[in-house]
Amino acid sequence: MAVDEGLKIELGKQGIFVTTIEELYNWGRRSSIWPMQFGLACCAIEMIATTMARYDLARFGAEVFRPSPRQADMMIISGTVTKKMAPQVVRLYNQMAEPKYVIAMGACAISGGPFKQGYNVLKGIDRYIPVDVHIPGCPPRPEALIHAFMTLQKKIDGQHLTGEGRPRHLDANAPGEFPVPVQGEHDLEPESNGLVWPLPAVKTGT
Amino acid sequence: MGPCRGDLAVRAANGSQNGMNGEKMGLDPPEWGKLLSQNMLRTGTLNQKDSIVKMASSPYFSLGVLFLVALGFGLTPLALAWLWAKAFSPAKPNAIKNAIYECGLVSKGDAWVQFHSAYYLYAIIFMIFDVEAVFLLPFSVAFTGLGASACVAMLVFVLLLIEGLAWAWVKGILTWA
Repeated sequence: MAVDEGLKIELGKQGIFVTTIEELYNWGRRSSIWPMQFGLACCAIEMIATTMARYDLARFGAEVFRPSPRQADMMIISGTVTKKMAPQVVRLYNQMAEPKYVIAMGACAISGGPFKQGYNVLKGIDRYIPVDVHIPGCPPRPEALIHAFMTLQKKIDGQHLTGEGRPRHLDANAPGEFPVPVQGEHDLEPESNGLVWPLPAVKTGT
Repeated sequence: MGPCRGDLAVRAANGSQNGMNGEKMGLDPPEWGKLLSQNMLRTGTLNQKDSIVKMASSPYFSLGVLFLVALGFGLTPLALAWLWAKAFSPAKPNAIKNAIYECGLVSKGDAWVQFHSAYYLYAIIFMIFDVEAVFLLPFSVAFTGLGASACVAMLVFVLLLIEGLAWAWVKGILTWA
């Protein structure tokens, strides 16, 4: 199906450019990822710095931070997700248009970070929504966010439009709705979404 | 329209004269059609072609064309976007996605809330002071150079506005119910 890479380069030298619909489609998708304007904690400051002139996220086609989830393709979970905030994050993710991607930025967003033993911080947003790229760091430098962004672009580039591993929006069976947790008596209920977090809950204190 | 119509009528008259001469020489059928339409114009009946000429010579014709072009310029991209979304949009609708967006929170109540009519009355009374301030400032700046008549005119103006305020006061609008 795909043209051999060597042949492609040879043809390119002769002025003939060969591509596939899939490549064009993915090129368009990865070059116009619009993040949602959404900052949670101190990582958001680094995220803002990334978009400014010095680090210039606009080079990757992602400078248009949208103030509404309806127009956004990517959610950057930039900081600590408290248990009070988690339902809102999941609801916003649900309201985004397909295909949507998530970057969990910083130690808190991926695992709870320094607040992991705390009573009110979610131990990683990937318990409720599918995360595409995790960035460690407290907070991660703008270069790290740009690296995560390039990683996401590589992932989008590598997605085939048919068969296994195709993007969610082309897969009729892929879930579109992720249940929003509610505040229970002691914790969020449910504690995690089994679809994206298959690990069993760790029992402590028994 | 007057001169234009007259011009056409003159041409029609000339045409009919030529036509009478030409008829003897034997004209092609299209020429007959032209003569016929000119005769109809002379007798006061406009055919379709003449009405188009009349419309195009109207000063509003170009405005109408511009309006249509502007309408198309705005509506065509919208229509294309709608068609594109119909055909290709990867929608995965669900109850949460279709819900009202309120920064991640569940929206409460109706967005179409009604305001108490007292708000509008307050807004109107505010206009009294607003208009007064707008005219009082230039009046006070130019006060030393003004004559008595200008001062009286301003006094009448201010008193008219104050009368409105007094009326509202007497009606009890200033008391919040």
